[in-house]
Amino acid sequence: MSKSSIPLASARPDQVAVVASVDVPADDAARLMALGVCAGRKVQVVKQGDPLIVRVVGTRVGVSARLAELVAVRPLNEPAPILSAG
Amino acid sequence: MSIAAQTELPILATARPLVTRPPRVALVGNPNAGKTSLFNRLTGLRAKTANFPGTTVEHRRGRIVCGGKTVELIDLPGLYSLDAVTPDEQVARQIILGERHGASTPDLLVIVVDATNIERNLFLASQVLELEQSTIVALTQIDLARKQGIGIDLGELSQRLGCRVVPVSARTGEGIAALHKALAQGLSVPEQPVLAEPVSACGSCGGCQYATRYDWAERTSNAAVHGGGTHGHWTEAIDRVVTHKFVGLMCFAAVMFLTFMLIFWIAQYPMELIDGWFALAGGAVNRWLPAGDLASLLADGLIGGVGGMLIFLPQICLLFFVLALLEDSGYMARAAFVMDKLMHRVGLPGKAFVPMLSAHACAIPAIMSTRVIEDRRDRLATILVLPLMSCSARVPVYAMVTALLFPHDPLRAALLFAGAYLLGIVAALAMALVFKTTLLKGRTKPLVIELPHYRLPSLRNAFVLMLDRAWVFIKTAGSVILVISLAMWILATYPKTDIMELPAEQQTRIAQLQSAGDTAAADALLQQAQLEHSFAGRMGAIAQPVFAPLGFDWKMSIGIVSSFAAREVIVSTLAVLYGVGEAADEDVNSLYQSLRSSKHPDGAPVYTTAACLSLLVFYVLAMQCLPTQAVTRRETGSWKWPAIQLAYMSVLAYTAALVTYQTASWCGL
Repeated sequence: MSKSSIPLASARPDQVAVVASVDVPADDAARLMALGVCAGRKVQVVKQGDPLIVRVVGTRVGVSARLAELVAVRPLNEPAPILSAG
Repeated sequence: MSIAAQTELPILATARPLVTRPPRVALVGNPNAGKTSLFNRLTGLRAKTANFPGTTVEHRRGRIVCGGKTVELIDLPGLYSLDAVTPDEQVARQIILGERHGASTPDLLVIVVDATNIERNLFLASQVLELEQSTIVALTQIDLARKQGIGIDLGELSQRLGCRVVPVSARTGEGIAALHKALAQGLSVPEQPVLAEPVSACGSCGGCQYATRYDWAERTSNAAVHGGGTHGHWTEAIDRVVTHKFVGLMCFAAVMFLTFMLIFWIAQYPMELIDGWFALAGGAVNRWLPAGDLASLLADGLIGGVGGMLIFLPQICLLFFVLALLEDSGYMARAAFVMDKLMHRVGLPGKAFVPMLSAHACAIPAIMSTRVIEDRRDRLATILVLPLMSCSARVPVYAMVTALLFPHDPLRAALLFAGAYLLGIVAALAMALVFKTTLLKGRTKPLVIELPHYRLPSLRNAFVLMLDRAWVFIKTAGSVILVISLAMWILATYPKTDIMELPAEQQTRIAQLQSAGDTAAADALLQQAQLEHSFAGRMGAIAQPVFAPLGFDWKMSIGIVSSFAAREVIVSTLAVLYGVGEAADEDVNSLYQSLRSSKHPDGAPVYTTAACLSLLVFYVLAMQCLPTQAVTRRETGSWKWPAIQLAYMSVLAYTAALVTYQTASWCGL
């Protein structure tokens, strides 16, 4: 996990961030990344908790906090609502 | 599909005309992309559901006519990516790649892309396009996209994807004719898609194919799609409530409560009708056929047995229907979401919760609805514990026991009833935990679930799904029910007892009753003696020492033996054994009266509080449902799992009833 990145599970709600790495076990990773939670995607936590809700590629994905701990994201300094679908 | 195979086809056809089959077109797409709606729109209601050979994975296929040619349309299970995770996805992948035994690749692939979320859908689309099979893209929900102000440059999109793109709406029928034409064209002149820009710019990028693919999807979408963004406000507003930690749980409870109220309330009318029809049919057989074995076989064995199964059909159908509506609306994903953390405590995923609730109507649809659970061990553990939930068939038995114990105390009766349900739930959760820490040891799959945008569910899709599932129920459970109805009838009818074989005392009583004109009572007495001496009666007598420690007398033991295959049978068996006769359905009170007054040979009452509680506990926990076992076998693909189910539930029921009876007796109940 690089210096500026934080776990997805600790990202502030509505903060836009870019996924830096996904270090979860292989079969969970396949599902997570197929749904868009993979390096380079912009994500935005809608609701923290266990499970949490993350907005990614025009839809929302519910993710267990256990996995979200293992996803590193780099927060961006952009205004929040740029991701709302499309 | 190579060109060579295409040109060979006519030669094959002339040589062996039987081999010709219509060209196959497969619909590929993300779950929630509107694939099923499009399929139903194209095929009407003419499609049928089938299993892929050797799997329990279902799909729908139907024939349509495209440009004068018959085409077989296959609706593949939805998938997010070709790197398949679930069995459904694996089968879909195998079909697309032609890897399944005995089937070549489809002649044409139709990638279903949701026009309201093109970027996400392009991920799977890029994987499929790279296969270089003849492909077209159907852009669904185009009406919705337009309403949301999403502008799509079709020319640009088509150029970038390198294949034909047809905008359609399954809702309004817009573009369906054009899709038909595109299908016909795609089949007569197969064209391989040519991506304008390769997905991975650098061929050596071994790192993350997902990342490069999504980058490509983003670039493509940015170039061809403009505007939009009002989408999802409703979804977010609703989700703020229904995914809330506490409020969400309450919403879920309310939705499920309403669902079950609706199911039980509506189902009672068709159930009464079905009950009435079968009673009529049984009566008619008895009237038209001379009294004897044939009439009894038809009326009691066949009509009774089949009626006993079909009476649950309205509940099952309604359950499937409402669950399909909830799934289609997008709510089911939220239910799994809010239940996930709680369910993890017993080692199951959130998705196991709805099947557990459904099992309170009937375990069969519940077992069939466990297909949404991705992990095999999670799913097996759920299937194993589902029959512990108190299904509708247990209600007559619970009613009998509560009426025996608290005939004039509705409050206590209600509490006991609720207690029986609670016992089933607690036992199921505890057993799930036991299985997940022993036999099916493994980490519960952590939740990763798409929360799709809410949409108005399609009544038609739900109806189609309901018919399919109901048919599976009738086929799987029906054949078993027929066989066991016959077997039970034989066991309860043979060997025949002649009146002359009875002890002199009974003979005189029957003769007395007959001469007094009370033929009904005489018949009942004869019936009772008949059942006592039948195979079932003898088996009950043999089993009696086994059940004695649970406080069951020989009549109850016969009841348990006879309800091995279908638990609700015990009420009618007891009715016969206590000489109330088979008409007891209409007058259960007379049955309860005779149960209450029945005595052991030493004069002690049989139905003590301890014995009643023991019987109740036994019926909460025992398997006693062969149709469920047949469905478990069908869904798990092996007899091992129904065998385990039967074994652990029998041990559990016996032990719990034993503890109950011995404890209650010790307390002087």
